[in-house]
Amino acid sequence: MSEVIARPGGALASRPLHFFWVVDCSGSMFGEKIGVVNNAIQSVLPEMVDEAEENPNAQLLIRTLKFSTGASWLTDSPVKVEDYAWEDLEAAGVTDLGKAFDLLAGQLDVKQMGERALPPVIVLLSDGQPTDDYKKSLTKFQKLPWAKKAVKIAISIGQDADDDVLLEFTGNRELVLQANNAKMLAKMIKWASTAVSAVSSGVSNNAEENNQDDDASSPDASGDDSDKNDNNAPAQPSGGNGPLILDMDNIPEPDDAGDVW
Amino acid sequence: MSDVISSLKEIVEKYPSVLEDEKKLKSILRDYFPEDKRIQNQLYMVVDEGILEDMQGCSEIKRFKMLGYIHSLASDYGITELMAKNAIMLWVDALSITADDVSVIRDINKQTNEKEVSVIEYSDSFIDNDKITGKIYKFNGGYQRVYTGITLEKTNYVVKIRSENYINAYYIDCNGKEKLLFSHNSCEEVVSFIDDSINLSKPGIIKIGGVYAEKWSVEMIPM
Repeated sequence: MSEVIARPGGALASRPLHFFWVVDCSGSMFGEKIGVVNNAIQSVLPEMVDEAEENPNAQLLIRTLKFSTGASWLTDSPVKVEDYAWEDLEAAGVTDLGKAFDLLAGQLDVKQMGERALPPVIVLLSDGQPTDDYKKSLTKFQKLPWAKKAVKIAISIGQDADDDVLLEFTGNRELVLQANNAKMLAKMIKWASTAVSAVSSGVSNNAEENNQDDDASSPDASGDDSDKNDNNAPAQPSGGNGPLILDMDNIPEPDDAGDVW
Repeated sequence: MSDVISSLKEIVEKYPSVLEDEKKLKSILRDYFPEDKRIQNQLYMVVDEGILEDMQGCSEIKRFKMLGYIHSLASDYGITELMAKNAIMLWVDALSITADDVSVIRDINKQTNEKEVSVIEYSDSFIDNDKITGKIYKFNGGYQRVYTGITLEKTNYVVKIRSENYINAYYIDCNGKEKLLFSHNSCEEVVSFIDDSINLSKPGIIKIGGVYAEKWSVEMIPM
């Protein structure tokens, strides 16, 4: 039986891992698309809870941002995954993606995120073309230290989605996941949620080892180096506030069999 | 339809830049009319055909140009000219363009209460063994000929007639002279597009008939 060595200063407090769903609720998502989004996210939440329980060093916090004509958060603040209850979204209006980036930027502020947070995870789902001037907002968002460190995944729903915009967001073509039918959309949502949960486990373990250096690892302290840590970086071990690295091998293969949106 | 036009007007006013970008335009149309695939497709057709782009910047569209739009849309998409005209007019109204009246395209099944332009009346007559038995319009599932008659008050028109549904035979009777214009046994097509025209140099009655024919459109073009 191995001896447990008490850590000076007591057990580590868990570090927040912010997970953001950014969901396109414009009119074109009406019907099957928004229905699948609602069902898939609702059904993946228990798996996220299970993953979170296995990773006591990371506290998984969920927050959902919807955008259509304007954008808004569904909850006033991030909610612990075990307490998170999915509210079914409805689709109507246009695609103000820029407004979503503005709100997201506000949340990724160091004051909101805290200094000890793990790099956040942002999953953007969209099926259309932005109707507002999203570029200015995206540029502002991309300059934020936390945004640079974030894992950014986009799920491109249907063949009419603007993959170029989604690619601008993720910075990595492999992280623009194609979902051209209901089955693929559900799979991609599940992959994005569970892959990140697995990553959070690795990060939290590494973070524990690296914690003594963490005072220097807040996003502000990372400075311009974060440019080197974008999602284009090759897979490498992560820790502290470095980028989260996803296991890209498990991304579901696109399957356009059956009805295609 | 006025809802569609007011939504389109809103798009034009609030998001003028989408008119320059076909992908964005299609996307916003899906956002505005998510439940109405038919309207989406009607509007897309006009965009895809390049008509919207051509119309932009015009303050008015002359009759000749309008007819050109209608004919190209109808022939490229295999739809009736009436449908083509309706789709184009949605954009014309949304863009507040003045267009010459091309209301000579008539859907006579919708003309019961209208007394404008050249078609002043129409009646649906049931004919059995070439004998008109009255103004009856019905189908009994047999092989009766169903005739629709229209009386034209003006002369010097070319009249183009189309059937918009399944038919097995298609007749035009102009001033007592009957002519078989088309015979078609297939019922596979959802919309049969049948086109022929007759010259009408003096006022008269045109009767149109076809087995299982239910809907007709009549276009009158001045010679």
